[in-house]
Amino acid sequence: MATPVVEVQGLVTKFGEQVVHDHLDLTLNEGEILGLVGGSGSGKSVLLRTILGLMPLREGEIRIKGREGNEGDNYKNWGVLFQNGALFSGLSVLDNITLPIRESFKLPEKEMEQLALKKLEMVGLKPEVAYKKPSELSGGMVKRASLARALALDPDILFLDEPTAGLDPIAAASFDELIKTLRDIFGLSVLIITHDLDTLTTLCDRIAMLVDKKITVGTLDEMMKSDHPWIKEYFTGPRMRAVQKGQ
Amino acid sequence: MRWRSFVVIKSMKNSYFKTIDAGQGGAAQVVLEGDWVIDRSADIRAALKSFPEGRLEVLDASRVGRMDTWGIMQLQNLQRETGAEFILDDTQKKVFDFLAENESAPDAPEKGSALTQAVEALGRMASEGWKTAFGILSLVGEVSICFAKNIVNPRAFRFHSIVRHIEETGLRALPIIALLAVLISCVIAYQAATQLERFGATIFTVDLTVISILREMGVLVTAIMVAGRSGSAFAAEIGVMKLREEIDALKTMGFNPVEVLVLPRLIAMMITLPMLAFIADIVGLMGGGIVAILLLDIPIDQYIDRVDQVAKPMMFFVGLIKAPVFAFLITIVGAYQGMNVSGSAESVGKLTTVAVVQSIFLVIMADALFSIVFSTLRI
Repeated sequence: MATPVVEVQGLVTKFGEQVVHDHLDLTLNEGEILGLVGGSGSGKSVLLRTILGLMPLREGEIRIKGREGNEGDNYKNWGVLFQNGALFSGLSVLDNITLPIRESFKLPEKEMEQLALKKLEMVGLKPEVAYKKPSELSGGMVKRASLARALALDPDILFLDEPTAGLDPIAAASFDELIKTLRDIFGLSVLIITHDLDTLTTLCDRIAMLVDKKITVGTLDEMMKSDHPWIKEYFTGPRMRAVQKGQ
Repeated sequence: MRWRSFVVIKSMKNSYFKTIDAGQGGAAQVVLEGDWVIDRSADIRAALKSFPEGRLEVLDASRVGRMDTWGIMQLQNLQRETGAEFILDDTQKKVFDFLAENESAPDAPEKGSALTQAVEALGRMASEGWKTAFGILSLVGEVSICFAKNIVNPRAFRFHSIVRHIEETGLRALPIIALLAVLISCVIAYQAATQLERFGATIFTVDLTVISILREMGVLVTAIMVAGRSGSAFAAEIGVMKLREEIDALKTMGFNPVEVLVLPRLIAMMITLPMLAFIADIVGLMGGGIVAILLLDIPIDQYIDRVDQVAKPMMFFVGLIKAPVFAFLITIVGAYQGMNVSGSAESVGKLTTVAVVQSIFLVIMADALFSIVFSTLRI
């Protein structure tokens, strides 16, 4: 029986009077990779930000690992990869990674550095990257460095916001591989907001579609059989068919 | 036998259309020709002035040469106005079908009279002002809480960050502040001397310089320069972090952005601004000395004596006590505007400007209030 690590129930969010999510339910199960898709402007980022507590909700409940609400110590349970990396531009990559570690734990400097380099290794970056500033990194490296920072405290839950956007196909495939490996080895539960059809078809265990301000969730096969016009078009359109053909 | 006479009615120099009348009151037919492109728009519009009025049966566009989007728009307008049937060749037909007629533009929102607009604008300004006041009050509260939390656990202060800001807002500002102080005091002393000369009372130049520098100008000029330098820097740094989602990243990692970003800057400023003001005072007195010695022929030891007589400790403290208050205002306003940045580079620029303007305004207002308080207390 799947254990939910993130549960959203009856979520209502609004901007002023405009309803973005209308009694939305979403569950992320332990050890699964869930893809979150939806049209531009459908509220995917808003949903993520609400789960993270960056935005208020009007109605509904959010439970992280069984605990109500998203205050307090929740940040120790999750790691977040923002859309453009959101690395702290004034700090080196190493300092970016050690920042969350420093806050909660007192370790000798050498050990902290070693730990950070381990994280870099985990995400496939060379140690030389450690002393660079975010502005000196390429797009792919920024994403990996941000992932390293998200993994700094060994969280159980990973939130990724369009991680492969802007990456070349090789880098994107490699990133997908990385997520899969990390999930298999560390048992992470991952929620990925993505438009990348390759990610959806090869990486995600289930796909949650944000449509009509609610979530419709299922495996790839289930989604492809859906009757809903938008979902149908998404999964049987020319681009998706091309991707599936290639597999 | 009835002939249908095709008469060319208008054979003007117009080379963009020819009107063909079917005779016997039948609807006219117009054949379009030439290049209907935007480069020829002036000519075409002139020619269209003599376009036949009323309904047409047929509009033949197949002889037209080149046609661009503007041309197509014109033809669509013509068709709409005359209700005629188009004759098009195949390529033209494809393009016409693709560029379906746009719907008319949505109605511009009702604007109301000038008076209504003025009142609305006033209302909007008032509500913005209210929001800002609340927001700043809220930030002050947040900062105080963070400070209180840290003071009971002093190791929690981010010393590395505070020291960095002390260097940036204090040490690096030293040259410009000193320069400014000298110049301002020279200007004040010179103006005073010019006026007092009439009464043969040039020695009182020293009095005026000392009193105004120590009580007012030293601190005020320093604060204004620091507002421009550091107020804008804070707004811009924090604003760009907001733009790049770095503030969100901090929150999701369990950090309080106010504690990490605002508090260290505040502590640093409240340390450095009084020090800078102190230096400005000293350098200002030296500046007055330059004018006294060079312009008023007051020997240096007489200058120093006079300064000693005039300057009272109270004047110095009256000036310096304002410095932390100014530092507080500048930092809070700068940080608040930075946090308010939304979405675009334009927002960063705009709010940085607002931060500087607002902080200078508040500094001067606070200065005025202090004046009132001090004069009431006869200090």
